[in-house]
Amino acid sequence: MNKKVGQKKKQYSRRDNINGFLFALPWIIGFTCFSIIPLLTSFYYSFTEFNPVKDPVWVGLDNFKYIFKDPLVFKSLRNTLFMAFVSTPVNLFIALLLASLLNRSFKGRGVARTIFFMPSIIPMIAATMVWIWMFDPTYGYINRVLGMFGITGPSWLMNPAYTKWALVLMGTWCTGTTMLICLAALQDVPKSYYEAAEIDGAGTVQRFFKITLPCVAPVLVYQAILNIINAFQYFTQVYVIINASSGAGSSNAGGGPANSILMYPLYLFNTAFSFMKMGRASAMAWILFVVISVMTFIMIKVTRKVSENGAGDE
Amino acid sequence: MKRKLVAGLLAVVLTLGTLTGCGSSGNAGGETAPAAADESTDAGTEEAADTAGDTAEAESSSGEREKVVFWYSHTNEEGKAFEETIKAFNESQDKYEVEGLSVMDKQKIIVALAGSEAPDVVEVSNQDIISYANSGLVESISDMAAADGYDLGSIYSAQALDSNTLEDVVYGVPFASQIIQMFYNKDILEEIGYSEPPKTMEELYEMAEKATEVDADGNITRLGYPLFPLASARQELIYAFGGRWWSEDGQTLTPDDPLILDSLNMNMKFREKYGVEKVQAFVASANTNRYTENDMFFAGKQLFRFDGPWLATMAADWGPDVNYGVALIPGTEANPDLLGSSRYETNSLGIPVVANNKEGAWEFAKFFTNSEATKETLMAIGNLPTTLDLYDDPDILGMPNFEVFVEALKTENGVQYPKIADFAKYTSLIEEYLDYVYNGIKTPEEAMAELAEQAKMLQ
Repeated sequence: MNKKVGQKKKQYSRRDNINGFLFALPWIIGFTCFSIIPLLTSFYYSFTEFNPVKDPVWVGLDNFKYIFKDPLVFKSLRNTLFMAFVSTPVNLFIALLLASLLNRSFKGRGVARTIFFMPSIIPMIAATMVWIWMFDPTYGYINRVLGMFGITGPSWLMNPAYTKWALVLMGTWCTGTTMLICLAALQDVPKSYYEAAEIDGAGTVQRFFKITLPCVAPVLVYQAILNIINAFQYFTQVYVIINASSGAGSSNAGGGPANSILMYPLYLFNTAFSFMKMGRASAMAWILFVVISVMTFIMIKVTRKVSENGAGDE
Repeated sequence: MKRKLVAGLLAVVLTLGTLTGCGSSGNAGGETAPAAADESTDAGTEEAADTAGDTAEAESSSGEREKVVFWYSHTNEEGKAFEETIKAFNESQDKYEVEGLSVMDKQKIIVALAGSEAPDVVEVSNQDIISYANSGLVESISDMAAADGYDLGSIYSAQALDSNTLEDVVYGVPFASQIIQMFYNKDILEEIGYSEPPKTMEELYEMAEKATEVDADGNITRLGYPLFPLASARQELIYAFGGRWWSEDGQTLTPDDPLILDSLNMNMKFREKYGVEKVQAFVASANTNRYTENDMFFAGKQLFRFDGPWLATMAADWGPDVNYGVALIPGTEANPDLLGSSRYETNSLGIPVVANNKEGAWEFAKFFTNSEATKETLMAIGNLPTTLDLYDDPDILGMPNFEVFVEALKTENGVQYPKIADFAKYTSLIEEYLDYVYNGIKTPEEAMAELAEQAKMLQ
């Protein structure tokens, strides 16, 4: 009897599997057509020289050799790393600061939360165009405000020493999503911890560093690594700035003043669509893929470790 | 059982839906073909372009007028001017019917030229023509002209043909010339004690220093030296000294040309006098506000401006009060013959190798670039001619400032771009190293030596 039931269960299971597979089939076909095949094709193209009008010609490792000799590749990597490791902590700090402030009880808190989140929903291109005007050295608001304090503001988008800092500044405006996640994490911290700390005489600063920060650390680490990975895909803002700044007759394949905001994805795009080196661009994309894969691996490891430590402390 | 059947059916429907979605483009294209003909009269419609090529062959075999599909890269008022010329061609004969479409997307043009849905004629820049010729995508105009007994050399200027030539074969029929010359503010010039624009760069520098004004904080409020637009700083300011980024034959890159250094040294002398950061701040603001009502030239804050004939059209809209003149870009005391040096580019017509109606395309290309209608189109869009007969045409010379620009065309001092594969990357590198110089990060000598090293990697 039991054997019969077991067989029936097995039969249902197989049928369920088939049904499940059939339901998943549209996605599987889509994923194969639009992800797997292009991925494999681009891997093949990375060993060829081709453009949209020429058949691929096998060149072996030439594209990779060129990439590792090309100073602009390293420059674009340096710029991207700057954004990853400078912009990310600044954004996290501001997001946590805002979240802490907005976590307090005050009149109009809901409105304040909405206002601080609002920039995150504005389309990136529109926001960047506004920032270009804000950064104008003569008429822009940033330098006008600095001027009120007797500081002469720089040519933010013209001087290579300041262009990346301008991007960092611009990034702080869009911390709404991170702020919201931090706010959720802060609200998860048990109130009893603070009450106990208050009885023990802990001040605001002590409570923040001894309770708040350790409790939200896993979320912060996760956000940090996610932001770093996003930085490796930094494209829209620099693309808009460069195209809006270059006049008629200028190269649209540039990377800003002295290539100071030439990010790796932008250089990849230029290689493919301005220099028409699709094979080389595919090789660059695969290098980026490897880098992001490593970052993801680290993310998983670090997040797990921080979560375990957090759990252990509790 | 019933549930299983429903589940299976749903899965099949979804799968078919996905597959239909993947492969629907061909059908959709076929279905929009009639719409293509209807929409073709509107400048700015790209949608119809995909299928227009297919219709040409079909209709030509039906005994009606043969269709010729023409893609051009203009919109709005300029697009309307193109449509007028198309209309004039259609009325001038009864064998061909040209269908015009505005297609601005370069990627789309490349894909069409490489596939089977190309137009019969395409209007693009001469650089694009050379790029297409390098890839074997456009027909030899030299061969078509020879077969027709059409003497290109006696009709078009030599530099117009050169700019569309690759390895002694002409691949594009030049339609409009693009050059840059010197606009100057007459009131400022008079204020600093001059009645004539400069004839040499040394004179220009002297005037520039006298015209430049700063406020109490050292911020530049009026700029004398023509450091803006940025593209002119990379090109005309260098060419005026005789400096060239590449050799005459366009095959060798020459960033270490000593005449480039002469230009950069004069440039830096000016920047250092007023402060590199102050100059860059002014240039940055000028760049953000270019071609708007706040444009520094229209606002009377710029003495010299190296720009194209289109600046006059813009001045009429945004700076009607600015009292300006136009003169040839000066040469130097050592090389006064360089007067009027500028980049030289053209808008040209190319005939794709895969075009359906090459004969019709050729007839239209001749009409579009060399007829009474050509003049009308050029005047409507404010562009300069490429044909020698229009150089002396009173209507063309009567256009605002065209006399000076045509005079510059006649000098044939136009600088042609090199026909190397890595040209776009080379331009990008030039801009990077000029930025190092203009921001005071590297000396001109250091920057150009490093650029020369980098240029060795290029093909």
